[in-house]
Amino acid sequence: MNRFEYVRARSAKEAAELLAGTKGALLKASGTDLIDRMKSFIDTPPRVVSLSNADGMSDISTDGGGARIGALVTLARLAETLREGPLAAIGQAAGEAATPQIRNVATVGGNLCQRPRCWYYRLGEVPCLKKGGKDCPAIKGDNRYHAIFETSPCPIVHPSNLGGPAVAFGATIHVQGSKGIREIKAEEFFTLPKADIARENVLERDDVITAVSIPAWKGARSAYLEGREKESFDWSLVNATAVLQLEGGVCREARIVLGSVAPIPWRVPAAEAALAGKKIDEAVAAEAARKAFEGAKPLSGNAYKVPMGRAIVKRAILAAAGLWKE
Amino acid sequence: MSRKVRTKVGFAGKVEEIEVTVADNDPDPWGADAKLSVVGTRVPRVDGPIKVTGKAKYTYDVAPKGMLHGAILRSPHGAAVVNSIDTSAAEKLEGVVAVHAAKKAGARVLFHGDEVAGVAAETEEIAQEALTLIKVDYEVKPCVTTVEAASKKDAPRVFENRPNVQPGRARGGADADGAIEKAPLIVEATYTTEVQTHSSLETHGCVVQIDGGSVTAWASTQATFGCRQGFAGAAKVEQGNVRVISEHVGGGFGSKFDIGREGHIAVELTRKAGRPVKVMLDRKGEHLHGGNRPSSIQAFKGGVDKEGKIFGIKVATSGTGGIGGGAGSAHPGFYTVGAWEKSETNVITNAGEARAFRAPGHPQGFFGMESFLDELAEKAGIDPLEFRKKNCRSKVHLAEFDLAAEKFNWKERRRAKSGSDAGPKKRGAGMASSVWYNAGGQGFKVDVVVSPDGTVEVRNGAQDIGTGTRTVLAVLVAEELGLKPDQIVVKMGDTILPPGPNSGGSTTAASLGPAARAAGLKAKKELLERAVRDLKAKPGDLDLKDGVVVKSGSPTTMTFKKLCQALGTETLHVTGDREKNYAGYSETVAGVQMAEVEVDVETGQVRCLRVVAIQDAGRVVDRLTFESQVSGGVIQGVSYALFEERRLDPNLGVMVNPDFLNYKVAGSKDCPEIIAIAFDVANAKNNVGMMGLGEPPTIPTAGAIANAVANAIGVRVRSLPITPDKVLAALEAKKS
Repeated sequence: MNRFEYVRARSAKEAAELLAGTKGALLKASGTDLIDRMKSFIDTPPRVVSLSNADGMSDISTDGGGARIGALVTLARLAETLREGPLAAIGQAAGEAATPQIRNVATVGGNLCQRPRCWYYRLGEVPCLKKGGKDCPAIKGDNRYHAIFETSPCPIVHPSNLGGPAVAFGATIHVQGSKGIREIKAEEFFTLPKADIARENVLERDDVITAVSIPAWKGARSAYLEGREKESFDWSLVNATAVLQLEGGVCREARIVLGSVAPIPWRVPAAEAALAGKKIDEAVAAEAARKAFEGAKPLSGNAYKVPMGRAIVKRAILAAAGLWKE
Repeated sequence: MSRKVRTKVGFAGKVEEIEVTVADNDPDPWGADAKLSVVGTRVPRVDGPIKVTGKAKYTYDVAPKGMLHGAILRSPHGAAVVNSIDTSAAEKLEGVVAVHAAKKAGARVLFHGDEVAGVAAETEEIAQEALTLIKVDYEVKPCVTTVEAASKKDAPRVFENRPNVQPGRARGGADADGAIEKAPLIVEATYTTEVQTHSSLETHGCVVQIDGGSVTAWASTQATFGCRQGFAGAAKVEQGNVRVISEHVGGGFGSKFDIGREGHIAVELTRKAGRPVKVMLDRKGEHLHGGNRPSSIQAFKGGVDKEGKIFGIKVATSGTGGIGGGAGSAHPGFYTVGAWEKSETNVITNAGEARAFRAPGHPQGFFGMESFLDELAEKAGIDPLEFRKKNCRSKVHLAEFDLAAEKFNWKERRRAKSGSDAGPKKRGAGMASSVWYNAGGQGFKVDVVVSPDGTVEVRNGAQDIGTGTRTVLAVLVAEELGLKPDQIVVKMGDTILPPGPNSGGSTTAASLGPAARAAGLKAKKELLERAVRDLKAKPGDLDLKDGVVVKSGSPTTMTFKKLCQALGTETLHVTGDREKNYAGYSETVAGVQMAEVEVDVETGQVRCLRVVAIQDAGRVVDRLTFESQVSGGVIQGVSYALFEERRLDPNLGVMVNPDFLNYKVAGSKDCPEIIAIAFDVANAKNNVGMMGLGEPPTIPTAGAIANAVANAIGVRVRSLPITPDKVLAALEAKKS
């Protein structure tokens, strides 16, 4: 990695100011992603602003059915805290990420902000659009792990396990910038490459996520499921978050969000509509899952994501309704 | 000079007596009826505690005074010509002490990762930064990354002076076509496997120190003596002036025989800098140029009848070992296959070269062969177990087939009808086998040194690459001296110690074990001769047991410690020689594995639930070490079957997964329950009866899993790794 200045911020506000103060400065929480990128010279920040000593961002509260999750809460703690209840999908998503060692340090804010895992992006020596190159090597290359929706110009998939549940539950992302605080709806937080190739969300370079709040989903049930190759330490090939408001087995409202299929968490209103007013059973779930993948345009190497994804979505819906157990 | 000895050989229920010719120097072989107190028990690793507490020093931990940190600049292209290389900016960076351009202007780089330059600096970070300051102007050339692409008529040549396609020797030589045509049932199938990298947890590398004309190199290697030769060549000094130390090694699997380009670069940097230099590969360098198992494409054709008789098999294989060769697949094992004909082709591609990898040619070859046997059995309408027994010419395998079936519960686990489980998760069972060849080699020496305070040291210069050689030697010497293995200190991995083998072909333990036993026995004799005086005994009346000298027919004893005190100021130092192997019971070791899998037919994911591994290793010296080796082999086999695959971008020639995030190695949750069962065979190939164990247990696993997947879902995936996309595609193809 390059030589850089390392600064510990005592608060989110100070971190934002330190970021604003140096062009190209980058924020570090646990560093599980940033350090890898620096070691590959994908990022060469002159300044790294560390949040590890920052106050007030490591709490999690679940009063009133919702949750307010500090940005520095670890995935391990999140998985432990939100194991059950309406927000269970969040805990499940956190618990499926990476390895126990990584979950013990990796943070909620970092999980939402980690950069893509596209293997071309991660190879320092290979130019790609995100690194200022002229074209995308994945489109003509090995794209087995890439997107099947919104594949142009850059078919990354968003790597955050928590992104799907955040969108599904209508989370609010609390942000501290150098000029003040603001709130961003999860659904407006993530951005497509065609909007801005250089980033995956709307954060400015001096923005620091301070917390994520989830509204109360009284009576709702939820589930998060992944299709993957390995059981230990693997990225999902497809994941699905299902949130259902049920009354006597009949679905009043549904939120279905897919992961690892698009450059952003991919909400599928058609699948949600297919569930509304229906009594959840296997056929209804399968039909919603079919709808979820309408319009998918797989690349040369990832058509498998459609059948696999349908199974994962179907099971996530059934799991939320208490009709499927892994 | 030699003598004839009669000894009992074979396995339970099939013991026979044979005569072997034993060197005069060598102890009588332990036969099937040998009564042993430590050998064959469950002994924990003697170096286990220092390994788990971090006290064991690996090459990575070595830091002689003044040591610099090396780093290697690698080619970012699949193929290119170096137009120019400018290292001046790197040399000027503060903290950089030496820069070595491994490629000069005009040189070609042949693969992603080819070494271009090395830097030695005060810290690892400075060395890495300096690499970014080396300016290389490349003229990028077209590259070929697959057998198909490299075999095309107009394909760019990897080496200008030879074609990419290198036909190998034909084997078998029978007219298989003619025999197959006579068979009532004919099957044709093609199997493919991908390139697997060794992925040793400790990467390649070394620390080199040069003082005047002598070189000391700490190296992560499976060949201390081989590397002594390598470093001597690189540093242009006599081998006698080179000392290689490799106290602990974090795996090699066949990839760590020579000093590698990193060793040459380390020597150059050390010479330039005038200070010791450490060059350890990072994980990326390890994947790119740390060795690999070649890919394979195996096209089988065979004929069979309803009774299960195989008329003939013909197989044509090709594969790529990158810029190296060796892309062969081992067939047909110990099966009776009628007329046998085989041709092999090695295809050169722009990728790091293949190296020997745990049973070279075998996991891929046995995956193909054992899959094909299942397909023949299916065509004949015969259970795969029965089919194998009908066509097996090995008596040990025959016995193992039955034992495996019993321990695994084959009758119940094997699905009579594929896909018959309720729900989307379908279980199935499959089997495969292995054969291996080595009983160790001659010409090595093991010293036993007994000090007056009772310390017993066993010394040999070969390396323990994590297989448990230290423990095995401790057990054998403990057996002869009537001690416990943890009372023996084993010193290994240093070329100033007695000569030992390179760790290849599963030979290390069996090459050294008999010499250790001989040395232990010699030490015992010499010690007891001293006790004869004190205990007023005849030589034959004394024995060493449980740490004391016992006298037959007498309660008189003396502790081992007391016995050693009689040495006074002397140190007892004896040498055991590894004599040549005798013509024993069997030239090979046999293995059979059965696997149970669960396949999710909606997501395509395969999980391996259980593997029963029956393995013959001749005499098992330590059952815990045996189980550990077998489990490791099975895990590596599961990983090969389901996950591992080097992915090269076909356009750029770059490896897109040179890490452990996307180069997928089985993790703890991916490992099945492994039931490792030693099939004890008294083999009488050497005085212990040891045979090789390191490689064989990884041979059958992939084939057994592939056969289990086919049994579970009723359609065969003929390509490793068996990933969800392939399973879903196979199921889809079956539907339509």
